[in-house]
Amino acid sequence: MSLAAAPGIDSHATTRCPCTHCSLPVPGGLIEHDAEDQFCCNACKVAHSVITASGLSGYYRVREHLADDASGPSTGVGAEFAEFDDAAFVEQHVIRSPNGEAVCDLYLEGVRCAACVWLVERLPRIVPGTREARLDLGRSLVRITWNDSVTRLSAIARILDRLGYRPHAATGAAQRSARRSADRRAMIQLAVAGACMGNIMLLAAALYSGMLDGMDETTRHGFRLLSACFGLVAVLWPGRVFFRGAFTAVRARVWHLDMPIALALGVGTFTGVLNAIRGSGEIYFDSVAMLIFLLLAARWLQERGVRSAADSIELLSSCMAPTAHRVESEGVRDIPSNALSVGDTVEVRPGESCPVDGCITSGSSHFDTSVLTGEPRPVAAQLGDRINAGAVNTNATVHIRAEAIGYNTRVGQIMETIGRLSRERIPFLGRADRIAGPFFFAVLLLAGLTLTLWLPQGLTPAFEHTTALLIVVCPCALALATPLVCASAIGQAARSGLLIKGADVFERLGAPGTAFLDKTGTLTHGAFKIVDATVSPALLAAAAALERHSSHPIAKTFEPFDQGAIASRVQHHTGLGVHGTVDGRAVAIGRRSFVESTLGVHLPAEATDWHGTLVYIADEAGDHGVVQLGDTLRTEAAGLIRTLRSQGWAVRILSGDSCAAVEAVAAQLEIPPHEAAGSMTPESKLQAVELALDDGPVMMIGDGVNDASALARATVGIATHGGAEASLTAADVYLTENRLQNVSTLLLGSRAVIRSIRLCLAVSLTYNVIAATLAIGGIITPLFAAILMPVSSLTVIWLSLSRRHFMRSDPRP
Amino acid sequence: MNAELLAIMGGVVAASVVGSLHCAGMCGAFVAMAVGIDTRVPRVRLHSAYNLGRLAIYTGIGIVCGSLGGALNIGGDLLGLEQAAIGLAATTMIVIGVVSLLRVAGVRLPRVHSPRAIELVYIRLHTAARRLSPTVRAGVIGLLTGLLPCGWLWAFALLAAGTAHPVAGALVMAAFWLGTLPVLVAVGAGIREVTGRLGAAAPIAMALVIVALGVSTTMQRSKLAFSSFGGEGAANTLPVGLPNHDEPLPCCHSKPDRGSAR
Repeated sequence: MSLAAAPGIDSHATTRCPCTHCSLPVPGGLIEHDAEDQFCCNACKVAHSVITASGLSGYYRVREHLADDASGPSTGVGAEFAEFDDAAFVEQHVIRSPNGEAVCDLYLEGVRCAACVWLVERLPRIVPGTREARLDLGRSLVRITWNDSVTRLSAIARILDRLGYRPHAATGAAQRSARRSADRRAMIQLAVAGACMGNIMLLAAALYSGMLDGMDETTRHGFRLLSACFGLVAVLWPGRVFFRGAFTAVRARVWHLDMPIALALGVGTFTGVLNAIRGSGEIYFDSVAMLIFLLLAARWLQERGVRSAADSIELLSSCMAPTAHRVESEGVRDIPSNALSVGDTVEVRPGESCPVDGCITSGSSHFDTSVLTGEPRPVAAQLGDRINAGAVNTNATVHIRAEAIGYNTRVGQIMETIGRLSRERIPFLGRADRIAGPFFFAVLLLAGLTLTLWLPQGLTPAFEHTTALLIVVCPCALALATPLVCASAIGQAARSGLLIKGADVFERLGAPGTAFLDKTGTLTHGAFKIVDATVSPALLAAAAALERHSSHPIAKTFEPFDQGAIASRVQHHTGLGVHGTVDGRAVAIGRRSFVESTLGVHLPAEATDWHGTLVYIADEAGDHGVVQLGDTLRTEAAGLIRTLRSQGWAVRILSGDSCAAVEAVAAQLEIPPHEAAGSMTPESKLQAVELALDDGPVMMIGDGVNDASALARATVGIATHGGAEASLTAADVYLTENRLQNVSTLLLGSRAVIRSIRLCLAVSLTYNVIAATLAIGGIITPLFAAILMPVSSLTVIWLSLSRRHFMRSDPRP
Repeated sequence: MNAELLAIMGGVVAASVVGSLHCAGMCGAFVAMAVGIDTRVPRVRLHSAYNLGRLAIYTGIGIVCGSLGGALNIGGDLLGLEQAAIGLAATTMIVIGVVSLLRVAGVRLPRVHSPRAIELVYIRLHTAARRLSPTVRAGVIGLLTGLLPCGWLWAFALLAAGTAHPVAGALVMAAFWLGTLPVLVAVGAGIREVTGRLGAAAPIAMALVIVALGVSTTMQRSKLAFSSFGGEGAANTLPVGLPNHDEPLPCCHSKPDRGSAR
C-alpha cells in the first residue's frame, strides 16, 4: 500500500476496525493502537461509558449475537425443541389469533435488561414467518405470533435458544390473551370516545363563542355538521355498549342504569343529527360525547382495579418459588418453575418452597405445609413421601420427582378455582342499579310531562325541550359514582394489605350481624412459642446453644435464650432430638425417651395439666427440665374484637381446637364462654354460620381448612394471611399481611366507602333534580347544559377519587 | 419564512437522513434504554417521550446557537464584516468535513477529547434518569441525547448558529431532528438492518455531507437574511441594513382575514 508508507498515514486505515459502541468503522486516523476499545467519535466514547456505568454492557454482547444469527438461517438440530411442534403441546399452549396466526407464550431464561427486550423483539427479522415477538420483561414471558404454514415453533425456539434465551412452555396463555384483547378493545373505545369528545368540544367552543361574537352561517352549518359526524362516530362505536346493555336489561327484564343512558344518547343523537342537517335547533353532541367518554373511563378504571386484585391472587408465585433447581445429569440447573415438566427431579433447599407436587426421591426433611392445611407444625417427610407445591422445606435439602406442575398442582388448582369463581360471581345489585328502575320511570314521567306541557306551544318546542330534559337528566354522574368510588377504594385497600375480590364487599359489610372468628392462626399466632418451662436458665442457654446448629422449626423458639455458649460434637437424630457438648458437659434435648437413653438419666413425670408439645432437656450432671411449646394470642386480637363490637357485630369464636383452649382464649378476649365454641368440625362450623344467617349478615374470619365452607357460606368471608387452600378459594377478602388490624381497617374502610357512594349519589341526584326542573320550565339552554353536565360529573369524580377510605390503623411494623 | 431558510431546512432534513445511519448505532442503546425497559407502558408513548425530549433539546440548542450567531453578527457588523456568523459556520463545517475525510483516509490529526468531568456528570445524569417513571425516563434520555459530544449533531448546531436568529436556529435543528426520526423510531421498533450494509460507508458519506452543506451555505450566504424573521421584535437584536428586510414573511402578510369568508 502506497498510503501506508506515507508519513502520518496509518496502516490501520485499510483494516476495518468497528467502533466499540456503534460498530460503524472507526476512521483510520482515530484508531488507538493500544486501546482495547475503539471509538469513531467522542460521543460514542461517552455513550459507551454511560452504558457500561449503567451495568448494561450486556447490550453489546446481545447485539453481536444478533448480528451473527441474523446473517444466516437457523441450522439448528431438528431434534431440539421438537416437543414444541407436538400436537398435545399445540393444543395446550398455542392459541389462534383472529387472522389465523398461531400465538404462544414462552418463558425465557436469561432475560435481564432492556437490551434483551430489544433483541428478542427482533425475532421477526430473523425468522421468516414470525410476525411479532413481544417480551414482558417483568415476567420473562415472550408472546410469539407466527404463521405456522411458514415456520414451526421449534425453529423459533431454536433461534431463541441460540440467542441465549432458552424457551420453555408457559401456561395460561389463552386466559391472558383473552384479557389482553379485551383490554385493548376497551382502550381503543376509550381513545375513540376521547378523540371525538375533544374535537366536538373544540367545535362547540367555537360555536358557543360564535353565538356571542357572530359567526357566518356557512361556517356555523359546517361546524355543526362536523360535530354531528364526530358525534355519530362516538355513539355508534364506543357508545354502542350502552345500547347493548340496555337491550340486554330489557330482555332480562331487569332495571339497569344503561336504560336511561341509552335513551338519552339515542334521543340526543337523533335530534342532534336532525337539527344539524336542518341547520337550526340545538345539537347536543358535546354533552353526548362527554357522557360516553366519562362513563367508559369510569368503567375501565373499575375493571382495572378489580382485575389487579384478581391478578395478585392469580399469581402462583405468591405461593411457589418462581425458579426451581432441576437435577440434570450434568448437575443442578436453575430454571423457571413454569419450565419444569412432569418427571423432572427438583432440588428443594432449606427455606425454599417446593415448586411441584411430587415424591421425595432422596433425603428427608420437615415441611411447613401451612399454605395448604393451615397447620403451623412442620411435618416430617421421608423418602417416598408426597410433598405438595407451596410446602416450605424447613430442614435439609431433598430431591423431589415432579408428578404435577404449574396449574396442575394442588396450589395451582386453587388458583384456577379462585379465578373461575371470581369470573362466575353473580353480580351484586349495587345501590346505583337498585335506583335505576325508579330513576328510569321518573325520567319517562318527566319527559311525558314536558311534552304535554309544551305541546300547546307547538310540536317543535315541545320536542326540543323534551330532548333537553332527557339529556340533562342522563344519569352520568350517577353511573360514575359507584364504579369510581369502588375502583379507588379497591386500590387503596390493596396498598393497605387487603385484596378485595369484588366491589360488592363494601355493601355486604354495610349492615352488621354476627362475626365468627377462627382461633388458631387468626386470633392466635398459629406458631410455636415457649409458653411454660421448668428449666434452669443455664440449661436453657445450653439447649439454645445446641439448637443453634439445628434448622428444625422448634429450634427457632430457643433463639431468645441463646447466650453464645459454644456447642461441639452436635448430633441430630431426625424426629428424636439433638445432643452434644456445651461447656464441657453433655446435653440432650428432644423427646423424653431420647433424652433418657442418650444421657442414661431418668426424668420425673411432668405436671398433668400440660398439653401441647413438650420438649425435654437434660445434662449429664443431672440438671433437667421440660419446656412447653404452644400458641399465643395475637396482641391485636383484643383491638379487633373492640372494633367489631363498636360497629354492632356480635362476636363469636368457632374453633376446631379443644374446648379448654378455646375457653382460655375467649376469657382473655372477654368473650362469654357460650359465645366461644370449641371442638367444631367443618360441618358444625357451617351449621353455625347458616343458623346465624337467619338473623342477619354473617362475617367469617379464618384461615384453616375447617373454615372453608363457613367462609364460602358467610355473607363476607375474610381469609387471613397464610390461609389454607379452601379458605383462599372461598373468601371475599384476603389479607396479604399477617395482621389482624387489617380486618379493622377493612371494616372502617367499607363504612367510608358506603358513605362516599351515598354522598356522590346524593350530589348527582340533586344535580338531576335541578336540571330536570330547569328543562321542564324550558329555561335550560344547550350552553347551560354543556356547563352543568361536566360540572356535576367532575364534582362526582373529584369526590370519589379524593376521598381516602382505607387508613392503616397503625404504621407498618 | 423565506425561501432560503426553507431550502436550508430541506437540505438539513436530507443530510440528517443520510447521517442518521450513525445515529442508529450511536443512539440505539439509548433508544433501547428509553423504550425497551418497561413493557407495561405503551411503546408509542415511550417513543413519543424520547423523541419529544430530543426535539426539545435540539430546538433549545438551535435557539442558543442562533442567538449566539446573532450576537456574532452584531459584533461582526461593528467590525465591518457582513454576516460573520454564517461565514464562520460554513467555514468551520467545511473544515470539520475535510478533517473527517482525512481521518477516514487514515491521516492522524490532533484530536480533542471531551473532558472526563463532563463525562462523569453525563453518566450521573443517566443514572438518575433510570430512577424515573418509564415515560419521564424516556423523555429525559431523549433530552440527554442532545448533550452528547456528537460531531454530527454539533455540525448542525453550527449551521443553526449561522442563521444568526434564534427561531431560524431552532427550525434548522428541528429539521435535523425530523431527519433522524425515521431511523431512530425504526431502531426502537426493531429494524436494525438499516445500518448493516450502508453503515460501512457512513463516515465518508457524513463527512461529504458536512462539506457539501458548508459549501452550499457559503453559496447561499449572500441570499440569506433572516432579519425579517419574527417581525419587529427581532429587528432590535439584528444588524440593520441587511437586504430583504423590507419583505415581510409569508406567514405575516397572508394572515387570514376573519371577514373574508363572508
